[in-house]
Amino acid sequence: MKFRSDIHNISLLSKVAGALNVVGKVGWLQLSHSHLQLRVLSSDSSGSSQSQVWATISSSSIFTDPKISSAHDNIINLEIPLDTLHRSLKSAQSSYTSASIKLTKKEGIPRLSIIITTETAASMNHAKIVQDIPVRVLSPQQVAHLSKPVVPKPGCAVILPALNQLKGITDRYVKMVGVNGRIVLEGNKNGVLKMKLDNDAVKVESEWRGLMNPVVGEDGVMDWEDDGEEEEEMIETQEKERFSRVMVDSRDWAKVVRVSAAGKRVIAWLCDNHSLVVYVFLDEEGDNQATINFYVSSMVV
Amino acid sequence: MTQTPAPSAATGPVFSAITSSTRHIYELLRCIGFMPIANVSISADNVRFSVEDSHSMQANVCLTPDLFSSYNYTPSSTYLDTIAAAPPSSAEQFNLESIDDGVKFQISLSALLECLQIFGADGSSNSSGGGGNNNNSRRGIGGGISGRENVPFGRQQGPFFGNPNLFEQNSLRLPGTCRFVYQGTGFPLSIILEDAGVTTTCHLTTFIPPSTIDLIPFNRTTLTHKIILKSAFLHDALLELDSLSPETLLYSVSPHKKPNFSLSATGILSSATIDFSANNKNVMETFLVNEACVGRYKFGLVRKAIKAMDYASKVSLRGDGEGVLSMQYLVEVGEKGASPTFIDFRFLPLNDDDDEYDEESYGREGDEGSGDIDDDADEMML
Repeated sequence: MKFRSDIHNISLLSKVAGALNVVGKVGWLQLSHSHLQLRVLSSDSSGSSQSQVWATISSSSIFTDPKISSAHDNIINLEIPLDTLHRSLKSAQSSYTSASIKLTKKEGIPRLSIIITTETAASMNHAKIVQDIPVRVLSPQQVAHLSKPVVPKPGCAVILPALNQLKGITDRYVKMVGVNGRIVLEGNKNGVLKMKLDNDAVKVESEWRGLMNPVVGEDGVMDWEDDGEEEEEMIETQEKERFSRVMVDSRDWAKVVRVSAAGKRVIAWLCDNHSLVVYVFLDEEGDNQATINFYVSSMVV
Repeated sequence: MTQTPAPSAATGPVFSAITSSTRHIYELLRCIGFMPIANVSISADNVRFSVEDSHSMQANVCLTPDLFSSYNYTPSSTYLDTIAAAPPSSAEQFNLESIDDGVKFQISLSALLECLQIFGADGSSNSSGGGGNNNNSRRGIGGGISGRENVPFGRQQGPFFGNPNLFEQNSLRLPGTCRFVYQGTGFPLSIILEDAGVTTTCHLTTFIPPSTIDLIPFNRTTLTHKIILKSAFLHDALLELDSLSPETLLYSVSPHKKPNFSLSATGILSSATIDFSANNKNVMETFLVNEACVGRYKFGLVRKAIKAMDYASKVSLRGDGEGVLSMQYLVEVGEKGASPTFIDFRFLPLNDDDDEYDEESYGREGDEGSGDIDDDADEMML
């Protein structure tokens, strides 16, 4: 089992590790020729709620010339502490001239070593910093049961409003319902998103209008370019106004919003009474080179 | 007050008010936000929020019509034309003892404070949202109330106005509106916040208030002293004493002997006294003391006024023959030239031989007190 590569975009990797560290402590890192996939394994959430977070980054958008080999289709699965990973990458991010990563073994413990070469402006001296992150190698059997949840085609897909504002308002909602309170999200295909809470002391409803609704294809591929009115007309007005609804744990929703802040464009799928799926696109163009998917199951009333 | 049990909306709202800034309203209410529930009373003169703790202290905030760009109160089910009479003076607007025939209910004050912060909420700012402005230390923002004036709500990015974020979307957006609506008995108090592409509607459940909400009586005819000073001095003094974690605040005034006014407290390990001199006009604007007196108050309760001390510009401290301490904080709000508003605190003294408060005597005093001063306006410091 071998893995080594140069890293050319350490900040992207750092951003992903930081976002996932919001959700949980331990991650599953899967390395293959084409992709790097990181999933939160242990979540801080209470038992009642179910959420999953997956980050997928194309190998080429982070690594230069990766060398990877293993006995299992050249795929490597590692269990990795997310906070250590994030800290290691963050410290390197500010000043580095080159960075590389490799899988090593020291004192019998497998480690992911991040090697950073820095050059201080004053001295012109090179400094090499090696950060070893202890990992656990997972067998294919151990991760076989981990797969992305299958969700129905959403009743509503909507681009989330300004994330700073959404976070500010969400923080107030969480204060009002408590950490395991319930927050309802409703959206339709007419660009409307509602966030609601209801308790004894207060009922609150926030409504955004004029949001974009990306078109979701049968295969789940989204297209948010406005490509012709034919599609628009095909959807009847009544259908466009119909709201899809999910109810989520307030703490999960607060995490969704925090993770979303890492993205340039964030799309929420409201699968009526089933689940909330949030796609966080980390690139400006919104291409699929680096995305975080956040699945939250809707609570049963 | 008789209440019709069934809601009747057909006649239009009993109360409605509009403002483009919730900041002052939020800051005022935050000063009494130490209790989760508030009694609300709406009249033509103001909206009054009252809280009480341990039957030993009360705090009142009055939102005057000056804080709103429009303020409509229609007491009965019949439409009345806007009251043509001259608007009441600020003292009248804040007359706690005046006969109050307004509508009354209880709401969750903590929920209201959260709702107000939704207005202009922006997770990117340092504070906990636009309404938060929690880093509101007097030193941080230009040394006093005047430094904070005319800063549009939610646009204040931080303590420094020369902010590099000046051209962020947040600072360029159009001002929003905030509407308060109360349809009448049985209806919620609704707040509709429209701001930067989002409309938030908050319906605060209105609960029936306890049949009598007795104001702690303050007997002006037995006034022992009246001191007006910059509230910053009181704030700093309380913070100083607070570090001792004391049980009791010893409050003493003396007409001739120095120190003229002192606050002291004793903690487990040490004790401290802060003396104020009546001679320094920079410290003490007014110092009228009829007789020397010493009062003991529960420190934990007086401490609850600390946010008001921080927010207000001046405070009037008065005592009556029964040892009731009244603190009235003057807060300059709204546009320049608008009359100030007040936050009023009243504290019952600790009993000399027993720190526990005697329930019975409170009731008795209450009856006497209200009889004495019912028709006697409780004048403000101005």
